[in-house]
Amino acid sequence: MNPHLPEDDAPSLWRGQAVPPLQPLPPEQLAEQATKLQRSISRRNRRETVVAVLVAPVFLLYAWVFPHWLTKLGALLCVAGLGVLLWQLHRRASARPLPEALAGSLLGFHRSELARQRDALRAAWLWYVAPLVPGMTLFLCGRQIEIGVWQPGVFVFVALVTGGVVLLNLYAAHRLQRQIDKLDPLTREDNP
Amino acid sequence: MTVTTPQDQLYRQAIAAHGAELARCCHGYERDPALRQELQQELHLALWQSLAGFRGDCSLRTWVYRVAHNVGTRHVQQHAGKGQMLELDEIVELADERHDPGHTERRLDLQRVLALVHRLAPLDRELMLLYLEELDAASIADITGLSARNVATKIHRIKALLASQMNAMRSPR
Repeated sequence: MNPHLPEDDAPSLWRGQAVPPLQPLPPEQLAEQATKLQRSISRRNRRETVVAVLVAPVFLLYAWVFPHWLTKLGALLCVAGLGVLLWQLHRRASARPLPEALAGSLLGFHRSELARQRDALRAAWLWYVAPLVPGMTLFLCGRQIEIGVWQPGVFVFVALVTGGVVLLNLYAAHRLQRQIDKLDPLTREDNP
Repeated sequence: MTVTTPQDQLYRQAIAAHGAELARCCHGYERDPALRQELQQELHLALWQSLAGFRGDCSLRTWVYRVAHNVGTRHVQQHAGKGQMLELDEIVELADERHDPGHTERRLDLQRVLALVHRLAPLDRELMLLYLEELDAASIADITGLSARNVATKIHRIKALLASQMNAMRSPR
């Protein structure tokens, strides 16, 4: 065995490997794949709609059944909050990068993907959590008035879970930002 | 009769000219044969779709490489969690892989290079693969978006890493 593989031999080793080259696929097959991909994205979006559509009637029923106006208002606000959440999900899902974006420089594409994920995480509290907070708060207040027992622990628990989710998302966004910060100097000539 | 669009023609041209590089690129991003097949399908589709927006602002080769590596990186990120990915500076400290007596010497060398490539973090992996394809520094800078100086520094580290890792793996323990 050759005791030393010079690093310059690695490219010839790499290029000499027996891997069959890619062969072009017929355009019809590619068009069909593109349609399938689009369908699977639409299916995923529909699943989220179905979940919201199943949950919304439960809150509408609460608004009908429970007597106190705060509970009714809270339940209706929860339905409205679900609507906002769903709209945001669809808006963000449709903001997928165009296929041409894949032809951007590796650094640019990598950075934009990280930035997209970071922004989604930073804004998660606004579009996942915030729309449901007013409705849930009023609903819980109304229920406690109805049963005549004041249980602040419920609010503390909900606030802790909500705060925890928000903090975890912000921490993940911070970690992504650190990765972005490491990429930026790589485009500068003065900073190898 | 099927109508061939300029997009279809560019796609055929790209695959005919760079099919071998693209196949090796997929090898560099995915070791599992079934997932590699999936990656190749993803790449075909992404390349074909992207070429609808090709205006000749860069060479077809640069375009093809960018799409291939961006798709590869996205694939790796989607299937992350199978093993920690390391940067060039971290991988120097890596323990070696044991020899497999059933393989030929050259194949073993290739396995070692592949093992090294598969453990690299996205940007370093792209650079390593472009270096292995023997692209010059200017082309690598054009494809990656890194400054020429950073490319030179990284390539220097890649060469040193390859030399040290290959020699370390060959040394008897």
